[in-house]
Amino acid sequence: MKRFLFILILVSLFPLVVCAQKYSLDGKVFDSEKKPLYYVAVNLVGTHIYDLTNEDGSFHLEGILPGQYTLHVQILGYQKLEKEIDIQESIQDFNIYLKKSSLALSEVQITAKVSQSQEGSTTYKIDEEAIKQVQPISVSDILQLLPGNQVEAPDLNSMAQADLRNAGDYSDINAFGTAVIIDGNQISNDGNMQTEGQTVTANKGIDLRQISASNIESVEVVSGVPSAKYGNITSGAILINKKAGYTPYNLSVNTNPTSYQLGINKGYKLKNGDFLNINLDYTYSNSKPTSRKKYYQRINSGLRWSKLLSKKLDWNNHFSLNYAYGFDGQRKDPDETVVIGEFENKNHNISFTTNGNLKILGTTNYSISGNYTKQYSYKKTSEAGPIPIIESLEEGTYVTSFSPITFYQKTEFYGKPVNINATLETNQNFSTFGITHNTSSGFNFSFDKNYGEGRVMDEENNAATGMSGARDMNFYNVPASEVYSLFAQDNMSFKGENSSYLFKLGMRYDYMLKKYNLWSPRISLSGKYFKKYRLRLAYGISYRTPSMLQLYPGPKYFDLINLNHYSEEDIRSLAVVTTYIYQPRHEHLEPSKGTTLEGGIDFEHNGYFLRLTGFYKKLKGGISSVDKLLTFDKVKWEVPEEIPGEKPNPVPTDQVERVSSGFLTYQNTIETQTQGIELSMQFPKIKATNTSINLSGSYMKTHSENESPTLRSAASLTGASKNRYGLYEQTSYNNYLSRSNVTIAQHFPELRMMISLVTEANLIKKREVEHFPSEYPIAYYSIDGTYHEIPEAERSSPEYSDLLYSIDHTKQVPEPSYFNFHIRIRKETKQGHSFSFYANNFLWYNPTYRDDFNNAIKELNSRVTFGIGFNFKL
Amino acid sequence: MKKSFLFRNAILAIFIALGFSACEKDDEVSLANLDVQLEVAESFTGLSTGEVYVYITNTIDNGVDSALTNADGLAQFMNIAPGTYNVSASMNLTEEEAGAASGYYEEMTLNAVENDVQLMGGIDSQVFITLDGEPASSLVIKEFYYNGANDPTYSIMFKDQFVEIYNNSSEVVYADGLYLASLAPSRNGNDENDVPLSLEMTEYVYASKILQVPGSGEEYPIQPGESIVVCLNAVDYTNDGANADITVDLSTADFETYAVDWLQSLGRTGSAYFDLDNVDVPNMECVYLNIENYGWFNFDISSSSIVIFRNENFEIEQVADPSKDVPDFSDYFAKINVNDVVDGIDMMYNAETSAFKRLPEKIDAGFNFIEGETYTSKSVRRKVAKEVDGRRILLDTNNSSNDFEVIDLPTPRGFGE
Repeated sequence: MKRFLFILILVSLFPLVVCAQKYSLDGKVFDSEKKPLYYVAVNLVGTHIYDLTNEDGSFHLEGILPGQYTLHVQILGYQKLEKEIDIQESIQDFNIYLKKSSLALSEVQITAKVSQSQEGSTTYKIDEEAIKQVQPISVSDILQLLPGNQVEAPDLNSMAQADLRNAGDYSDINAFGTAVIIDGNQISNDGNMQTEGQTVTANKGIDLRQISASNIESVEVVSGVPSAKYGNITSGAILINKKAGYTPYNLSVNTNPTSYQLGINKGYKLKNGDFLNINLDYTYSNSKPTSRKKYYQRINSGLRWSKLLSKKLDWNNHFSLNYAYGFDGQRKDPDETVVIGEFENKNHNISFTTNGNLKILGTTNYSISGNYTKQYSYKKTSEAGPIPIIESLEEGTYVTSFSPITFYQKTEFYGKPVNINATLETNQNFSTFGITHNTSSGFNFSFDKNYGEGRVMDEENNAATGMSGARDMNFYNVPASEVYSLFAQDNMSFKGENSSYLFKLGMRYDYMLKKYNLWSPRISLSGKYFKKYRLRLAYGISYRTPSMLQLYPGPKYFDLINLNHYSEEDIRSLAVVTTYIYQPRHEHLEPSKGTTLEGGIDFEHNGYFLRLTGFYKKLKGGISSVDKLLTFDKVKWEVPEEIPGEKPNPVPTDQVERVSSGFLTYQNTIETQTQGIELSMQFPKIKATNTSINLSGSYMKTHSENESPTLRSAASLTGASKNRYGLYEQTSYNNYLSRSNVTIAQHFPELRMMISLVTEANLIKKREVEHFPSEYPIAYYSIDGTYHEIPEAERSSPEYSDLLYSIDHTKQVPEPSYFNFHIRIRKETKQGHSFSFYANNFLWYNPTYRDDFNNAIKELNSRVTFGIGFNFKL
Repeated sequence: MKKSFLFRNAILAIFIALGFSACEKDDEVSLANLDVQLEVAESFTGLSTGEVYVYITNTIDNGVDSALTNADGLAQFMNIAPGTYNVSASMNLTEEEAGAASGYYEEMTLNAVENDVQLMGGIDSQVFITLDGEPASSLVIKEFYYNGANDPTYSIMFKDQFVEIYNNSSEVVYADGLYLASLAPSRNGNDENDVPLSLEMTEYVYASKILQVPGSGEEYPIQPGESIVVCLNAVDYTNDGANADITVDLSTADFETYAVDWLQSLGRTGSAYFDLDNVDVPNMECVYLNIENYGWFNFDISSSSIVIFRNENFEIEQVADPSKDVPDFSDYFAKINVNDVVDGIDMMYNAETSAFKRLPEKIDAGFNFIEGETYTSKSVRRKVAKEVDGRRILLDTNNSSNDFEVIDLPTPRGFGE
């Protein structure tokens, strides 16, 4: 295996390089006052040809094959420039002027932009101006700009995940398959094993509220087929680029009825030409405007050092060091004399990343990151006794006493997840038979391990009976999770008459769970005709490894009370308890598999822009918890004779009962299929009034099913006393979701002001049962715990009449269609200070409808909320 | 100059936000008229509906107004404030009167009620109400404590719940075999979005939990004027007096509940957390519990209705309960024939939630409620009608609005003196 890997790495690092006639492009980049700009990134889109300008603003691009290109020129603080360029010979003295980005410019994009990107087949790019307009506190607030997403007030008191292309059900499982990549580094939540506390984030996707929005330059969301470079996913990727380069001091203050955020950032240009960016951000949030009980606090700080290591190799290296703190918990109310329950989560996170690119073997990109989090979760609850005290960590039967009427139970989790991630990638350009190839290949390695002490039960406290799994569990004994990957991609472009084509062929190999060799092809084809139309088609497969908690959920404890012998006389009071321990096995878990197929058509002409994408996305083997049944012997104990004033002496009787207990374990049982259409439309700007109109929307249908059967005891259904459990098929659902947003942006460049009105149409939201399960059991467990399959023909036999399960055929009520209106205003001063204001649901429109399924009147739209933000440049 | 522009923007923003608060204009209030036509159920003959007091209770402020019926049974209320009213009337029959009217020679009270009558200003409304009733019973619910202890630590929670059953007759009654049922559904209007479950409750009431007093027939006598206490857990929650102002000592109760072993014998799982077995207090027999796992025999704390009944022939039926609090499991209720019910009490969430009543008029013509939230340590106790030879005879008009009073602390086996 190792040898195979080694050869693959070698092969992938040295692809064939075929030579052809190549040209160069030389020029300079200036600002609008003709001052040269230093460290500007200049690159040709779709190739790996890039350069960074020198102190005199000059750049030099070489190795360019003849053809049509888009030149992309970008530096922090200036409006990005994209210019079409036809290269048929070497060009010199190509001068470029960049404008300082501000609302005084005539072109400002404030919605998510559909982009033709290297990163994947359908991507949405959200740039700084658009980010500023939504006044986000965390990255999750930025994602409201995606087509079909709802505009919501920032909520920092619950976990925020990216639920890409999902119409409902299993959001956690969908979000678990979405990668979050900051500056080329994939963030991991796989080592998180904190299963209690204020907010449980284990087994889920990345908690986006932890990522501050104040130091972000752009966000790119890949919702279609990602490039072969991205793996360990089943549902797209979110790429976040942080600011690097010179900036003045930037002080931001954002506030809304529940939270405030203060941030400062600055990019220094050092004497040797290096850049140093620092940022510090503090956020505080209450769950409700009226209550201070639940609160969230966040500190993000970072340092990013950008250095040109070698001019000769154009070796540009970024080193960053970040510290983040997150607190999620409750404060004690001054009126509260006694604590009922205390919950909290605390995270300290330190991460370092070094990434860069250099011109060796074509262009080489590398990225290495290390991430250490110290997690602490705490739960303390006031418990109601008297109950038998149970704290055995071993199997066996023992005599115990009763707890007092009031006692506290405290559980603490100490987690120390560590993640190491490394990627090395080389890129080449060459041309054969009129086809231009841009290839990239490389490898990726990720390592997750938790060095924490784990779940620790306080010694003074009593475990509650009947609650399996409240006792000690070590994290540090859990083996590391490793994923080794290789990838290779060839982006081929060629031209026809009035048409041009881009064919991307990628393959990824992942080695997961130390036994699965997984191949993920990624193919996409797009053709552009008459410079107006584009047809797109893409297909891709990807895999996601299970989280460590799914693999090692820890032991389950089952406590049976053989004798409950309570008395008001302390000496007579006792209980006899038997503890059984079950260690769930995880060998059956496999990586989940994601498949995406999509096609689309784009039209672009005279300022009209339309993009229509149809997609089909499938997740197979999503992991969820599944009902299982275990049975145990319960020996009845008794006190044959009590001597007054003496401790009773319980003895076992020969009465044995087989007692069953259900519990949950993880299995690959979820399958979801989403089909949908996404639409983005932009109308030509009304020049006279500077008004732009943008429409985006989506329609999706998600079909979800859970193949693990539901477990139900026969007894509760009929009141009969037969001791067996039936297993029934699960209901499968179809969810439909359709939303669209019309954004009207009114720009006043001379006032440096932008007002945007978002009309959100919530068109369809419904959940339908696709398949009602049969009322007959498919199998049953008898009282001794043995599993009996029932052949299909016999299921309706009277022998199983006690297992007949009545199916609720009530139809769920769909939400009616309704609107919501939001307004955003941003105003800048000449010095670059800015003020912004937003009001969500500003018409205070809360329609209601009657939901017969839940028998309740439901209110639509969140309450009116508004926020104000200031940004000072010093 | 620049600063002031910024400032103007901020002010503008605030005005935009404030501008959305709407104003309403008050209209002049016009008053309503109501005609109440009193009738008598078919099973009673020869009764006059004249000269009977009809009461209307405003559901918001609990203000009561009354009017006497004319010879035709018509009571008129003029110029009353628009709003929602509960309309009621009752008639006490002596043994002879009852016998003449129904053939049933026992003192009884007939009740007529119509809840949630909407009266609009300037409109004349009419309602018909029908007097109906059952003979007063010998066993009555004397006290029902379901609301939970006012314990800031919630360490008692509702574990001190109990029901006290009293012998209101002059002869010994045996409690053996008596059933005690918690009625469904639990939905009660405490959530403003709740909608009542429209079960037809004239013939049956629907139970989610049923317990039975053990014994072979004559093991558990209740003397006239005495009672039995059935509690969840026979524990002294006063904890050596420390909690004496919020709960009571239940260690000397007559019966307690313990469902763990019973549920396990059915292949189900009990709750060792809430269920405790005091060896010194006999357990009630567990009969029916429509919660599959981790259930026990507590009462709903925010609103609770119970009945005591005799007759083992109740059937378990699936009823489409749209309250999906516990999906799939709450759909099974035991149907109890109204004629088997000995006594019952309907405790609602508040004065305005009578639409959620779980008992028909002939069992409980009214309803009662504990003002305020849950966990108040408040209990509801039947009033004493009179005392005969030192034996208290409790008020039993089959109307809990009349018969019961809310008290600040439970008084098992006592009347708070």
